[in-house]
Amino acid sequence: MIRLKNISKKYNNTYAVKNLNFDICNGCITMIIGPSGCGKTTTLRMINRLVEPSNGEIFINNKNILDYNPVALRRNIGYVIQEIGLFPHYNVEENITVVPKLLKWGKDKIKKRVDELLDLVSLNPEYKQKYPHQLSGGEKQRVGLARALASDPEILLMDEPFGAIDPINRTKLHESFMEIQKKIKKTIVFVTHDINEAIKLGDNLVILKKGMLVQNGKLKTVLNNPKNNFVKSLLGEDRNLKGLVLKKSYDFANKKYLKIIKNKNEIDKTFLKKDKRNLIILKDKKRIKGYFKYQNKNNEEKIKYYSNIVKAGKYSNLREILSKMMEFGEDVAFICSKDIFLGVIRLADILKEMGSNL
Amino acid sequence: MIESILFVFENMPLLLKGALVAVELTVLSILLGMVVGLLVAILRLYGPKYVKKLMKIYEWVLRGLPILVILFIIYFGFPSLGVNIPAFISAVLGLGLRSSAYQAQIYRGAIQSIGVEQVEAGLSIGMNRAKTMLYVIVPQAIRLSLPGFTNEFTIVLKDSPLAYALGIAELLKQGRNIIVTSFRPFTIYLTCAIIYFLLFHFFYYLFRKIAEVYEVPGYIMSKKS
Repeated sequence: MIRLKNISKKYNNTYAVKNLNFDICNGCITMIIGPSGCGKTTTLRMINRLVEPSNGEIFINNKNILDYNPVALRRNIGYVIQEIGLFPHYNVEENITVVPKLLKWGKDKIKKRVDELLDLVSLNPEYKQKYPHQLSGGEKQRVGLARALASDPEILLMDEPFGAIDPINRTKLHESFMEIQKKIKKTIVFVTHDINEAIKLGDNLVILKKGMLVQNGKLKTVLNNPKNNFVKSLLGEDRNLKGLVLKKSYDFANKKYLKIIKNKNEIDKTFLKKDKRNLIILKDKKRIKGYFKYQNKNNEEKIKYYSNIVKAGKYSNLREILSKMMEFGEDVAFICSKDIFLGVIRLADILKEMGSNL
Repeated sequence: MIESILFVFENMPLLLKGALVAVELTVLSILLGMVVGLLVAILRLYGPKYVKKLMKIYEWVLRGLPILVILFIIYFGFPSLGVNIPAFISAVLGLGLRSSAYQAQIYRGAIQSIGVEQVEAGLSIGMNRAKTMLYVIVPQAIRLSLPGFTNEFTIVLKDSPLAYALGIAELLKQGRNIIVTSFRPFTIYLTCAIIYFLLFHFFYYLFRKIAEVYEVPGYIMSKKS
């Protein structure tokens, strides 16, 4: 656990950070967020002593960081910064192995570690011989992460690591990052100014304003109980919508009111008529081809067949599913994990979830 | 025409001896300039305030004086202070110290263009300051300073004939000696010019090759653009 106790940092009589008190739990992602100049980067850098606090103490596992040798301390804390952190004159392999070499690991151990790390961050082994300037922004960031993890530190500090990357690649990196964290379970302190990123990746939020702590706690708690107007405006008017990000589809997919048939001839019209919610799904072996739904327009009863279906994965969140539904003009989404059909989620289910946030 | 060529060949050993002295002068001056220049650059970047100021003055003064004046002060002026320095060493000191002022600027620019992020990256992964300098900053700075260094080398090479004024038997002086007995200034000076040019050409390409060998794929190119 990392504990900040009465931490302040003064530059020429102005406080960059003032009287911060909060804990960072082991194995979770803590997002430090706030507008520019709120002291989030300063706070991060005090943890690995790139910046020394003017007042207060920081403890890692109950030991004051001043009692650690700064060089040894930093070797046990990975640090990822916005792309510039890689050494341009070293190739990918050399960049990753800087720390293991400083720690004087054996050659075989280093080689094995490089392969493990490249695999972890999903980079092809061919990348070993490439130089940073030959990589895309996203690839550089993966190498940066691999380098920070090289000596298997307990703690990882990340300073807007995905800030300079285009939205499409950022989404991809977010997904790999979450998968990686599931495997490595590091204590991660992540600085961002992007509330969407904070909500998507974080377990906990630390909200700063002008160097002072405004609110901290579990993401869900903060989303549901914003402490004041500043937090409300930071989270945005659409915070209920944002809360949907926390909800994964596998918790909501259900097979109530469903019937699955293999052939159009098997359709049971009375089942559809009985309840408006009922659906009959046409499924051919593994693939869902479409579904039937009862409609009553102007007293004209009809069974309508839909083949244009919205599909989503097991780990999609409700917000993504909602936006897909809007895009396709549908009110039901089919959740599949690879070839296994887990059930459906209806627009009504999502709206109900949003309501429960209020 | 043929006669002129034979005449040049006849005197070639003397001219080549002079050329060798010119190369020695250049290489030694550049080495002196490199050691002092690096020191000045580092002190100007990382030294205490007054040392920074002092280094700035050092660069400024040496860049502001004509090289011939520097050479004359060292060779003809110092003996009146009781310091007698042989001609060749005086020439190396003069050319080398003047070059150190220019080389200091080249190295300082290279180190500065690398930026603090690299120092921070080094520190953040657990290198101490010395290791960060050695493994991160210096290797990049050398690559970045090679073009400027190449230019400085050729400038010192082309300034080496000034050692003539101290009576050193470098290429131009040897040529002059031949002219005194043969009265063929055009042929000999032209030959000297060709030798100087070939030396320039040789060293220029030598350093360019070195730069190519140590070029980091994608790196120097992107710095240029």
